[in-house]
Amino acid sequence: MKKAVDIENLLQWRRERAEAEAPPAPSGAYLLKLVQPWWEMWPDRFAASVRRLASIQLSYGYAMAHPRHGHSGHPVAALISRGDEEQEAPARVLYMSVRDARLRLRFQLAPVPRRDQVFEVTFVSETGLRPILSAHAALSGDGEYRVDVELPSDLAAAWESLKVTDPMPFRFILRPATDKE
Amino acid sequence: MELDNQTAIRRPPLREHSAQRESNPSAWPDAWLINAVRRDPPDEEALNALVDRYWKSLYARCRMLTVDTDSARDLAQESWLRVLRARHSIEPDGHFQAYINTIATNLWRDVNRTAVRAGPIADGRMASLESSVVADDGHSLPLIDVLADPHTLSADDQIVLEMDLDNALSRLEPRLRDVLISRVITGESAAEIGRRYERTEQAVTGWIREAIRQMKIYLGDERGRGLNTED
Repeated sequence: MKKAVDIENLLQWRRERAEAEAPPAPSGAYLLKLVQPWWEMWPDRFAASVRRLASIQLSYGYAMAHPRHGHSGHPVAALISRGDEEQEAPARVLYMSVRDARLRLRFQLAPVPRRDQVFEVTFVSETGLRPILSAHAALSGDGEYRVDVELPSDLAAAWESLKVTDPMPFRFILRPATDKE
Repeated sequence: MELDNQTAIRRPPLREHSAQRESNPSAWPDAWLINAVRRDPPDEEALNALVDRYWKSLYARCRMLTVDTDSARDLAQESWLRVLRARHSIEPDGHFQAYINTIATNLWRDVNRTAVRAGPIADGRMASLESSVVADDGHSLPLIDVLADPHTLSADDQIVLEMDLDNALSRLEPRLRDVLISRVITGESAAEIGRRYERTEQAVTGWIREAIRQMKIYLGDERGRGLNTED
């Protein structure tokens, strides 16, 4: 009779095999490159987008202060950035919840000629126009973009009490993404 | 702590052994490496050493969670990206391996969120390790007997066993797979796993038992009844 082993030993054996077949570790330089946010890689482009974003605030200032639909949230100034092409497309936050340091947000874009399936959303602070968060937003079947992302502790604390009917402390720069994080 | 470590790194070497250790990040303790990675910009050599130190074990865990080579590599890499994004908040004196394992598990759980539901695992379905399954011929088959020591198998048979194990793992509900791997591979206690799931230690112990029971059944399915007839 062959010697019997228990599941635990069998799984440990499988783990050893998996370790032995592990691909080479990525280099630190490669990981650092991947994790570098776009606004650090292309600061000039970010600065130009922020300037444009600031001008949107002026154009939509009245709408942002006087939301037409009390329950559907405030408009948020948003800029779609596709390479050298930029397009203003105000967004409206439909749902926002911060729980367990996780942001769940739904927003709708004003009609635009082209609907991207996934955007990389850069949250730019309303005060100071600094990049504060980057997340992916996927288009749902009902035409809304949905964000579900872990928040840094400082943002989680600051946004926890925020309601969808409050003025949002950020604006969006939307960059088409090829896939979802 | 950070200042202490930085001082230690810059300190002129008193002994040759000490100097060699300090000039080679691969020999640094985790706390030194983490401190170096937390700086702006992060120390690339220290990051290389930290990634090298934990890559294989992290990959192995991801491989068993995802049961897929490419997904495991992507999950392991994404876990490192999360570590880097949150590097300023990492505790240098914390248990780094547990930290990055948790990140990988959370990422994987997010992917499987829709599949992970509390429903199917009810206390009434728990079985003990001594319980048995019924073979196709109607005979009761003690679960423990369907497993052969992999070290006694030929290289080809080891590959087949590896595939069978992967198939059995993939048939486990994601949560059961996670708790089984966390307990058996990572060595987390049932209480620690319970804290992650906000469940009692007893509930997690039940899940682990259930996972093992299902693994044995699935392995029996995968391997047919051949191993049972080898005695």
